Amino acid sequence: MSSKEKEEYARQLHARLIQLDPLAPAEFAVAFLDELFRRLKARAASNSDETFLRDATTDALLDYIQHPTKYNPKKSALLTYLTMAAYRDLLNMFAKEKRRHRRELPLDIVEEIPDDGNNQIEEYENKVLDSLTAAERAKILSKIEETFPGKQERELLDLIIHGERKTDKYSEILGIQNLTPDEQRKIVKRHKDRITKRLQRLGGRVREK
Amino acid sequence: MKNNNDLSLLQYAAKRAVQSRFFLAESLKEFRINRGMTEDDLAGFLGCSPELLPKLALCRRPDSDSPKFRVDIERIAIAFNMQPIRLVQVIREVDSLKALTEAKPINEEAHEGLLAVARDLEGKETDGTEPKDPSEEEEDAK
Repeated sequence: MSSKEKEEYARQLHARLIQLDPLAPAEFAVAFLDELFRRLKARAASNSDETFLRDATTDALLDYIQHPTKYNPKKSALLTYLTMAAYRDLLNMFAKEKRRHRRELPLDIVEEIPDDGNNQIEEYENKVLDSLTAAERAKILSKIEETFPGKQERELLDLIIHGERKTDKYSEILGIQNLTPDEQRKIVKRHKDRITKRLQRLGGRVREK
Repeated sequence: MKNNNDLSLLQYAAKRAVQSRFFLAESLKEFRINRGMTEDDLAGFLGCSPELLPKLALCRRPDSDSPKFRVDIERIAIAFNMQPIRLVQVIREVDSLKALTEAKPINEEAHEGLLAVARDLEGKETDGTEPKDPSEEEEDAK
């Protein structure tokens, strides 16, 4: 079928879709899904994920089939319109995926504190926080405040996040320097475990948003 | 089960169309699941080839309240060479199940009112007098 014939067939099916013909949606999909996918793939970046391309193609086509009057035949050819719609969906998917990645604040970093410590963590934190919008940043910080309402807890959290390993720093905050080193270690460990667990749960909740 | 990337685009679209009541896909899937059928069973029930199911799923679902219902069913049945009655069965069965599951539960107030009426009816004596208190009945027996 030549491109002119394809456009003509698409126009006929468009008219049938508007008339609520029950077979037109299936006929349209059979005739143009592969074509639309090819056009979108040619337009999109060469490294575009196949699943995104399939989703964008099917979303655009299924949406058009359900709302054919959104298309204005005076403005463009139907297949051009659908390719544009699919491309727009694809860009939205990429943007959504990018936002999702950005929101994944790596709070579980406290589990594996690297040997060269603070600089690396701070660099990473700054990178993550810089990539967030002001609203996202405020939301995460308020979640942290909600989860760790006490001043002492937040000071302990700060030490954990910055990779502090010396027990006496924690003991100082907890006011247990007068206890034996062994007792201090046990108490500090208990507090660190509790805070890390809450931090992990918070990380999970932040990611789900 | 096939990975999504192994499906043809048409199969993939049919799978995604399940999310909308506009398409027959939703009714076909619900019917199949309610009846515990495989896709092959469903094709057998409808009397069409399993390869045609994705295309059938992408048809517009005939609206059982519309005056065009019968005509739409016949058009689909002819196009897919199947018994129209089977397609009607699929749509009506799924619609009935949906109506039942989507029916609003009786609200608390109405429920209380109905209970009160039921208690009154249950308590009425056949001669129209109010029922006796059980303690009074015990007194009478003495």
